[in-house]
Amino acid sequence: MTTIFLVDDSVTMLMSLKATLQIAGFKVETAGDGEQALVKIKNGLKPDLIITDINMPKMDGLELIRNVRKLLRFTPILTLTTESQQTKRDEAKQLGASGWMVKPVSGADLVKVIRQVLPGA
Amino acid sequence: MDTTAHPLCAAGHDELFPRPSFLTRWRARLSGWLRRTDAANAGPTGNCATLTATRDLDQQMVTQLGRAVNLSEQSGLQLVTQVSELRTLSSRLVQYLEHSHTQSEAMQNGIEQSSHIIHELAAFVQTLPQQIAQERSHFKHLVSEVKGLADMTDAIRGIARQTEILAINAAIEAARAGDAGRGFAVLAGEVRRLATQSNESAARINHDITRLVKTVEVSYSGEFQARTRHNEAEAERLGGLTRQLDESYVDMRQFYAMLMTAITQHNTELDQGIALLLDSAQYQDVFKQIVDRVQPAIDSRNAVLADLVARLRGGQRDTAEIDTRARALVPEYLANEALHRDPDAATGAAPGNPGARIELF
Repeated sequence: MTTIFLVDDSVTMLMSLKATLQIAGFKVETAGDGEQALVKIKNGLKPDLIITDINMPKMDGLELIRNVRKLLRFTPILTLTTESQQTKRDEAKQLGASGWMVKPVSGADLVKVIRQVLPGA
Repeated sequence: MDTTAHPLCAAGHDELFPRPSFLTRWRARLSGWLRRTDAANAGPTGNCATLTATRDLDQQMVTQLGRAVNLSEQSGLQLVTQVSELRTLSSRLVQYLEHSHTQSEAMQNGIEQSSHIIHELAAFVQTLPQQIAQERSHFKHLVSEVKGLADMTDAIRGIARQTEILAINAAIEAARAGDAGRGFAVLAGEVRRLATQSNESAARINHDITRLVKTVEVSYSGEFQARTRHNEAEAERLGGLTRQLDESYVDMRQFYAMLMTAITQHNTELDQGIALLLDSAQYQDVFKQIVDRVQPAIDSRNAVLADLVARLRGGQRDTAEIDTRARALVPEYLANEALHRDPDAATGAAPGNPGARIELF
């Protein structure tokens, strides 16, 4: 089963997205900030896709992408944030993110994007 | 004191506060209160008290906004939890439906098979009266044939009698012939004995046939015919019942298929509704972040006010630098908001290009 790793400091976001993705048939892991996410990955979590917020306490999304790329080189990473500015999008792209999404994104669109990034999922 | 010279007034009260609608009422009230306080407390000390009060009110407002965010988060969580539970129930319903659908298909196949069998049975039962009538006709014909056999035994008996007479005549002629006819007399006796035996056998066969025919005729009496007619009627009635049963099966199958379609459609709509509710829950986070961004704007404004208060208390009247900082507050706030502009917002509503909501690199 395809595992999606959700990283967001908003519990509401985590829970609503988790429910949406579980309905779509994905296994979902969650973390409340970048630091917690990195610990889970260092402890052996190997998700098929990471979806991360950008503005988070302790470690933000861009920093998380930078660190994850050292551990998981090819795992696709999508951002899901209220930030819409181009400079941050460019930075995320440079760090190795696969895409940028501005909140809110409908569950149907999110699942469509996931299936584009992970064909066959 | 001329209040227009006050840095706050120079910046314009309305411009000093964030624009979100939930602050509008508070901003209007505060502006009015500030003007009245300034008028009542002419001089730097009075202005300081006003500014300090404004800052304190801001702090209270921020606390309340934080509370509102927490409340919205709690209710958002409750909503997501309840919707998730609803979804679990819906999922279970889908599982039941899938199971029922499988059973339904098996049942429909069974019904179809039963219907086919019943259809064949109905067709068979419908032919029964005709078959019974044919059997009755065949039976009559058989009885007639058997009676014909009895006539044949009569003919045999006639031939036997003739043979016996012939044998008697031959014996008489043999006696007349004396010794020469002695051998012929023995032969005539044997022929007579055989004729007598044939006659007796034919009589027994005739008797048996007559008894058989009588027995058959007794059996094939009015009671038997009434019974077969009753059987014919029962067969016709059974044919009608099986046709009704066949039609009922067809109706039942159609009803079940219709019921399954309706339930499946209902569940699909329920699923779509749940998906929309889960999507809407994301707005709680968007709301939280908008409110979160108000805090640094108010902090910046408070820093400007604090500096202003310090200068006024120090007796300084030149506040041009603070004026400039105050004027920059709103553009800075709006510029920061533009970085979070919703891609679906109308063009020109805020500066900056929000880009696409979803962009794959």
